[in-house]
Amino acid sequence: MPCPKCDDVPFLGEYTRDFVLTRYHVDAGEPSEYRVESKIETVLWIDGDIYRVEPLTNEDPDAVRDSIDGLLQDEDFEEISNTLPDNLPQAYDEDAYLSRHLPEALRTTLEDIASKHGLTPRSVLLLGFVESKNQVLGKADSTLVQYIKTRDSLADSLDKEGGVIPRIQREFVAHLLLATALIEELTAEAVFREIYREEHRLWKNKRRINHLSQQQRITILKENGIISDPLESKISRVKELRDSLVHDPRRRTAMDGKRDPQWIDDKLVEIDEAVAGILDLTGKTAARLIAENGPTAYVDEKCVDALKAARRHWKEQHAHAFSRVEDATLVEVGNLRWDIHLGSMGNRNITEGVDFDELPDDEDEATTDEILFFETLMEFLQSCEDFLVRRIERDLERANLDRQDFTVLCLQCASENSYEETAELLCSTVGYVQRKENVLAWRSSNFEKEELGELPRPEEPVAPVSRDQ
Amino acid sequence: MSQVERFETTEQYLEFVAEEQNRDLDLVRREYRR
Repeated sequence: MPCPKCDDVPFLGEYTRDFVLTRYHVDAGEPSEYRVESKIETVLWIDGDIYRVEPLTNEDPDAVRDSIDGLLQDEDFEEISNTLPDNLPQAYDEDAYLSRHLPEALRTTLEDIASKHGLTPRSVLLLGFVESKNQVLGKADSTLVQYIKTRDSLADSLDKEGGVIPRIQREFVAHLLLATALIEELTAEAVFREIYREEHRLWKNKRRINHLSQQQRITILKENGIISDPLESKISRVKELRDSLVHDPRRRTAMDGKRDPQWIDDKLVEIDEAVAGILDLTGKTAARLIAENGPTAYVDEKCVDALKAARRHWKEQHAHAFSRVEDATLVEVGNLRWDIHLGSMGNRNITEGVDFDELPDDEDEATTDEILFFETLMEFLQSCEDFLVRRIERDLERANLDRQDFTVLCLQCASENSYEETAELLCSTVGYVQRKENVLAWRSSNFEKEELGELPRPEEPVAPVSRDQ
Repeated sequence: MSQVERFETTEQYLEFVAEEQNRDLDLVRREYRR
């Protein structure tokens, strides 16, 4: 549920350390869900959307649930979902788009398993699509959530123990192993998506990339100007630290009594920066980058949608608390604008929609009601940001461009972003942004053009790579 | 051939149902929320 008030994520709050990964990254790691509902007729809820699949509408919901449970256990279904994409561009008919990814042999299998489980081929494709989205690493993979849990647990232990006891040392090494595994898999994904693109689906290419060493993958990304020097250094340092502690038992022992809490603290932040960077590079944090740095008109439009959705949700689920905001004369909920800060549990800087003249300047002079109003408003804005992410994620799924290409396009559409700034946000290079800009306009469908208006293009074409390079 | 309709909000879905079944939208809303 995209609402922090409904969430139960106890291990995340405001950090005293400069951690980059926040509650937002955990949300991004939550799997897409589906359920069967039958209030008027039987429909599927997939990832927050309602799918009305005929002729399932007339089926008994329990029978449909049983059918889906049976389908999920079916190996043939797993094979189908493995071949499906994780996006559904609006430019294509969704059924045709999904089924076109199926090899010929699997089309017959699709018909067979749909009939076997009493479902339609289209519903099997939709469910396969959800499974496919859930298999994307860093989206629903539990490794990312696990990573944040171990990081927070370590930080908590350090604060409680006040020193580096053996348990903390062991947990730190385990955390480091988890982080390096996550980084390595995401690096492989960056090679898949940026170098091999559609051809990464070919089995021999998958095998080739999986057999490369981490250093070889990084070299490919570096030679092609995909990864920035700072991110490459951060990743290398994490790998060196991991190798030094894991490969040489004596050095691992050498942690005893010689590492102060500050050393572990610093390393936790360094590891976090490396993981966050590779998440940015692989498009996992696309919605955050767009929400915080995208073109004003586009983000504004999404904010209006998010405010409507959040308002509906709060009226239904948190009516009592919401009345403090809704009934206040000094706030116009529909016109609220603020500096977006995804994942933070702190206060937001409101730029429009609240008449602050009606509130005292000093918190000490505020009445209990005024304090409650302010706190509820902040909670509501955090909730809006969650709906905003969901709204942008929907566009990412509908775009003809893949996640990272759509992100580059959005960032370049924001007039305030230079090539250098876009590159820095993506943990990539100026050449990468320029090469993308050269092709994004003609790869875009009407959807991108309608959402973003005039697409950017170099006024004077810039050669993205010189001959010397 | 099966048909698939996708709705981003409950309200969109309820409007579709009301129109397709030629029913009053408020009645459909009430039935859904009952």
